[in-house]
Amino acid sequence: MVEREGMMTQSQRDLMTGILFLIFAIALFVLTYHFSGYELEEIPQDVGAHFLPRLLLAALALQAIFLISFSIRDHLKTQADATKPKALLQVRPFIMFGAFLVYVYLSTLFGYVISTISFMVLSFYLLGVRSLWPLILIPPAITLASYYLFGTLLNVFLPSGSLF
Amino acid sequence: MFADLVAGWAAVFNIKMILILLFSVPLGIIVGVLPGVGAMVGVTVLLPLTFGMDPAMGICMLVAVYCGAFYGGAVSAILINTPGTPAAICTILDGDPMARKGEAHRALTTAVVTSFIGGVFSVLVLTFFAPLIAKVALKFSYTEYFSIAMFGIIMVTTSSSRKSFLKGLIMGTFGLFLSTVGQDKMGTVGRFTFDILDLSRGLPLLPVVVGLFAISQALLLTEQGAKAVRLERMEGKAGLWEIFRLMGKFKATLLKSSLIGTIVGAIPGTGAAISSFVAYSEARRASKTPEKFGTGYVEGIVASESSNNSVTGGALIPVLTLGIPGDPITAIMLGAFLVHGLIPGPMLFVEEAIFVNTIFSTMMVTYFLILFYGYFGAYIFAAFLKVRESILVPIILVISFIGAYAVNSSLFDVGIALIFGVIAYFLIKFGFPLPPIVMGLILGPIAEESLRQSLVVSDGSWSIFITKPISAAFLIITALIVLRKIYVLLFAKGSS
Repeated sequence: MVEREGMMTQSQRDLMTGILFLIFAIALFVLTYHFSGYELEEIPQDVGAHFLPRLLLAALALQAIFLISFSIRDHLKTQADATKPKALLQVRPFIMFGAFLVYVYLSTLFGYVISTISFMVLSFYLLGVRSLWPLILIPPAITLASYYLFGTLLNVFLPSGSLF
Repeated sequence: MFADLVAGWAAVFNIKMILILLFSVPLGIIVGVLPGVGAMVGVTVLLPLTFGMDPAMGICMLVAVYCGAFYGGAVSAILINTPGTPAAICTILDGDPMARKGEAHRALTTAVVTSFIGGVFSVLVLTFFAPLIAKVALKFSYTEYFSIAMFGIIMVTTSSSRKSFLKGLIMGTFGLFLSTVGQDKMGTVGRFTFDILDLSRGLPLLPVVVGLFAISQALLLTEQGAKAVRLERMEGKAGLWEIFRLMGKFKATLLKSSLIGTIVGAIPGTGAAISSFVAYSEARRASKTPEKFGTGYVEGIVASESSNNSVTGGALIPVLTLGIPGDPITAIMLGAFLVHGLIPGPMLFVEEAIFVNTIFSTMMVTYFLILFYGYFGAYIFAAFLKVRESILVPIILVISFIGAYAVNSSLFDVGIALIFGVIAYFLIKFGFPLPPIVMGLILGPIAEESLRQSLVVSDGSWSIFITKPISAAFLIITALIVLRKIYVLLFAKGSS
């Protein structure tokens, strides 16, 4: 039975990925004709800075074409399969990713400590932690411990906010 | 050589280094214990801890985490029937039945003793053979490096994507392509920089790795949510000496499995899971009672754990002697070397001989600490199996943020990590393996520089790659592997 996950079957996913890689490879192959800068002209035997990117992008395009053709073949083979595709991709990772993006931005304004505590409280809540004590105690404890460990003890640079 | 070895041992026995090892070994065991974290995510996430350290201490810390994680995988394999790392997959076969029979502590003690023996064996091999290989590698030219780099990429591509060679190949090519971003090393040509100054030095390795392995894993853990874990009770107490004495009965299995692990570890693209399978199968084949394997038989754990832990020493051989990693974890470690201004390869054995020997002695001390912590701290490590994803995910994301930011104090790097985190999340969901990307990214610059320099030396003649015997041997093996895979892809049933 064909593997089905998310909204698409595996062959549909392969088809989509193959098309994306093909477009990516063609677009960047074209870009190789617009590189700026100078090659070392005194070494005529050198294959040049364009050689490897073009070779790799051509290979990538070829591999993408193979992936597309195999996925079409697999799709045709398994068309009779009546299994319904499963539900939508889960929303939770995207919400978490959004929260992480906001956290990165806020760290430039409020600095590491405040933004990290806020992010951890929010993400604990989003991930289903509802007990009051873990929500209150764990985020500041981990934030301050990591601030001390990285920032003070190990001299690792942490973001400092422009407001605080 | 002997003086360097003594100096290396002396470097380990200073109070700072001892404290670092005392701290990092349990940290490694914990990341190995946690399913979904494992050695790869652990080493990636803990990398920023080393940024402010002296290079030797930083690298030794990562080595300790790396070795600790391999043992840690056995704890979850035995207690919750889930390997913390893929390396512990065969440990489940006998570890879980033993735990169900009320012998969990005995299984864990066997695992820690055999991990110790396998690990020590591989460190001894590393200590005595790596300098010899480095001596030979000193004679290598760009031509040999190009061939070895191609061999490494193809091996990882073919082994990390058994379900689809094509997908692995696409990822390897994509990784190699990513390595071409930035200013050309032999001229001043800016490639795919889009006039972004930060890209002129190329894609920053560590943020890419953090995105690929840590952020994507956090997103996947978010998706999976909390799972009900059935934790076996720690029954059937077994003494350390009792197990050491018992090992006399299995000395042939121990030696053979440790040797298999060390050799497999040194071959690019193989890794601990494969060594574990090979050693387990061989132990069962050679046993007088093969029917006992898989029913909670001590010898099964002996084979699996001694082989997967002996991979650690073997895997460091190509990294240290050639500067070419054999798997993604050692590729990340190679990245850590570069961050600390150290260039692995044969010259490291000449210019930084004491440092290299410090790594060897650190590994040896690490395995003694694993024995200590593994035996006396088993109950504590088991408690980490109760940590929920809801707690783990934010911690991984925060440390990933620190890791991506701290290399250059740059939010651009964090952006790169985020982009690659999302790309990796979708690639995993679509069934694409990630290790070939890292291998391509690491080996790409070596391959390109070696290719171009070789052609300059040979006056543009490509025959240079087949007229040198070592280069020709590696290229022929690489070509045979690729041709066989292409044949399977095109003509075998269900190959895609």
